[in-house]
Amino acid sequence: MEALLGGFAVTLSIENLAYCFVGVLLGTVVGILPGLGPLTTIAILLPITFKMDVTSAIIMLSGIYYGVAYGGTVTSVLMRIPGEASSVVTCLDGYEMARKGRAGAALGVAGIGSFVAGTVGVIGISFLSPPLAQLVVKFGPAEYAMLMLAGLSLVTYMSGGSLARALLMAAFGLLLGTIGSDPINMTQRLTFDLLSLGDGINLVPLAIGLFGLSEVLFMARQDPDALKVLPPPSRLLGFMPSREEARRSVAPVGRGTVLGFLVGLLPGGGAVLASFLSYAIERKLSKRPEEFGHGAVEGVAGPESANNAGTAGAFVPLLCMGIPANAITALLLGAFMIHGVTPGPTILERQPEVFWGVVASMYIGNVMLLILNLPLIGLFVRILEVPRAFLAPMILAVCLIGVYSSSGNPADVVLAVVFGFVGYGLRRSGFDLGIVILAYVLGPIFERSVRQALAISDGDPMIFFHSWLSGGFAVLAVAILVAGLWPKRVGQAA
Amino acid sequence: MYRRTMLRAGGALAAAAYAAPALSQSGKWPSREITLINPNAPGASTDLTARIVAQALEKRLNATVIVKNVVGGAGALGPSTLAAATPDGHTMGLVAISSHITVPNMMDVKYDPWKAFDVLGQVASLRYGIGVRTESPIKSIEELIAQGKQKLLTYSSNNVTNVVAMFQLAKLSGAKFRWVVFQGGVESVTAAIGGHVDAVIQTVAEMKPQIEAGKLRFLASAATERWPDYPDVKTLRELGFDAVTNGPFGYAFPAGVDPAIKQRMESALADVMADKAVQTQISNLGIVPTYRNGADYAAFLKQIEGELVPILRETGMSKKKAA
Repeated sequence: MEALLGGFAVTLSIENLAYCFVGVLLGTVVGILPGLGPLTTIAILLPITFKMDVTSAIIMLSGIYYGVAYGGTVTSVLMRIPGEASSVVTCLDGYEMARKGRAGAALGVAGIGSFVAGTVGVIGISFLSPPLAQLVVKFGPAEYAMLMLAGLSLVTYMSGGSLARALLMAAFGLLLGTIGSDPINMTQRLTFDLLSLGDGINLVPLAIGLFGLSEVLFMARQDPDALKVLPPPSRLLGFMPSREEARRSVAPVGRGTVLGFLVGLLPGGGAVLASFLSYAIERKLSKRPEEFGHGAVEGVAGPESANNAGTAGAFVPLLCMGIPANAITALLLGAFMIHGVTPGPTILERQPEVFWGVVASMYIGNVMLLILNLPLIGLFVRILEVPRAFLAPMILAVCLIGVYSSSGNPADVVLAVVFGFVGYGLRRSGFDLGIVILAYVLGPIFERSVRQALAISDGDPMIFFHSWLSGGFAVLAVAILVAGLWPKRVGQAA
Repeated sequence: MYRRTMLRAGGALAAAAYAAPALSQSGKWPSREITLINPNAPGASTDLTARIVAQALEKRLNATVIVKNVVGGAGALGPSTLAAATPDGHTMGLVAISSHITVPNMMDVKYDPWKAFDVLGQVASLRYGIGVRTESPIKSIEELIAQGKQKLLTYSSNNVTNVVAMFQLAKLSGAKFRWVVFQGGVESVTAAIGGHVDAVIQTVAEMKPQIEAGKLRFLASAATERWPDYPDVKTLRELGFDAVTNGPFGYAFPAGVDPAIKQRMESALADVMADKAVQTQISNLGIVPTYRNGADYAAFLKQIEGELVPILRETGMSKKKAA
């Protein structure tokens, strides 16, 4: 506790506060712009920090990282463009809320939920870091394989439609995930000798195509009057959720926070998995599951909290073990090392002022983000007042620029357009696209983990039950599947 | 790409015709920003090094040097883009074992690695080592080999470039080691300290945090020298096994750049690498700043090719049949 106060003393210098503010501001902006991700931004800014004090540098760079989770919501809700991978799931209900005139409420719930999750996440870092970090190394290939299996079995909860349709979309997502280099011996699969497919299909063109561009096509097809979006209340406090919405959001925020933090700890899946898990759980627990997909506030509150808590969770293995949970924390690890600081168990002994300074800055950064984001909501929702005839080409432009800037590869733009048409066709036929993304993200991790585990055990499948963790996840996967299938059978019979 | 084909097809005549305008060009080179193509994602050790080198080159060339991450095609997109770029001295890029050996052997690329580039020099080398978790009963390379003769041992690593020393060690000692491929270097190390595999071969940068923390036991350096931070730990060669993993990387122009421009860039790069501040920044990443000039670096890559190609065949990674 004393050490944390010392951290606040470090952070509360004018200089560090300014760096923290610059970081979270940039993070918000980057989150709003689809495509330009935190990874690129941090990499570009890295050389600027060479001359800076290490604590200031990390305060600024990590501000970008957790700021992004706030900003990513805006385009998901307003335009159905996922700003970041972890806000894909927000497109489902957030955009529907916007169409019903509740855009402000959706953004408000997301902002407040993010703040709660971010802050609770930092409290988790402050007090639980060392023991939680120990848990991370317990996850080997077998544990990952079974965790991913449990995640994949969630597809039975994700869809409101028939189970067969959900499974069909899951299969489509898995198929997309197999494109590219085989994860073990690099054989090219389904690439048709196209170099651009050598690493598989990137998430950005896939998500922006399926969600954003398909929406543009819908707009083009429909009668302009049918598309009327209810104007959001433009009062000063128009972003505030109604009493009813607030009441319904409390529990999802709480569950999303805990779930997001725990899943965020794990290298690999992180915030994306957390947001999908939260969505599936909220849908299962909801008394009104039929509202999901049509603007259920729980479907925004839970996942948005989960992805913010997930970003906080990712700092635990980074700071305490020197293990980055994803590409962005890997870049932060590089930033530490350029400055001659080695994150890991020794950081608390050797450079406690760096550790606690960064942790303290995250408390302050989250407050800054809340203050920064809430008033802006009033401004953001004005976008919906733009006539559709102008808004549709605007969304188109934002999507295409976003896809191009994410990789600098023109082939990705072509892919996004293709997925725009695919997404349009699938949505017209009533298929659920969230499942495609879930299967696409988890499938390759599942495949790699299974193959690694079997290489280790020399082909013996009992390795998946070798520890209580992997065995537990295996049981969980079966339980989820059975529970997911059971009520539907009964319902159909009745 | 069309222009490059033309250039090659045109042969000497075209080259001579091209040289005249190019010479006058060299006077005002660099006339705009220089793009440095890196085939790895932001944050990779090659990316961080590129950003350090780019910043240092800027001062010496009086031009902006932009690091552009051309990621994709399992590492093939970067070198392919470089090979197809206009050879006017405003595009350079990373060349390493990936661009010259693994990628051309594993995939169908349109460039010939030994003809498509004017190599400028090597800037760094990754230094590898072999480790086991602290709780492991294996305390030395000899014990690792003894165990590997009794049962199959597994080790983690993320890239075929890394595992050369382990393949050679298995061959020389008769022990059985199985490579388990992980996605990233840190994931590999984490798998070893979690006890999911028996050993790990990765770079200093990836292993050092865990060695410092007492989670990983450092058995041997897989480089030609010992690690400066751990002078007591011997190299595999010193232990009697001629097994080495090399991890050099450097930069090249696409082939056909005006020799005068190439000359200036080569000396600018040499000057950058002599800079103490640059050396310190690169060393902090756990990478060894190592300079070789263009010709020497190209020859070094050629030597590594001879060691690596048999392993690519053995692991089923090479798609090219033995000639």
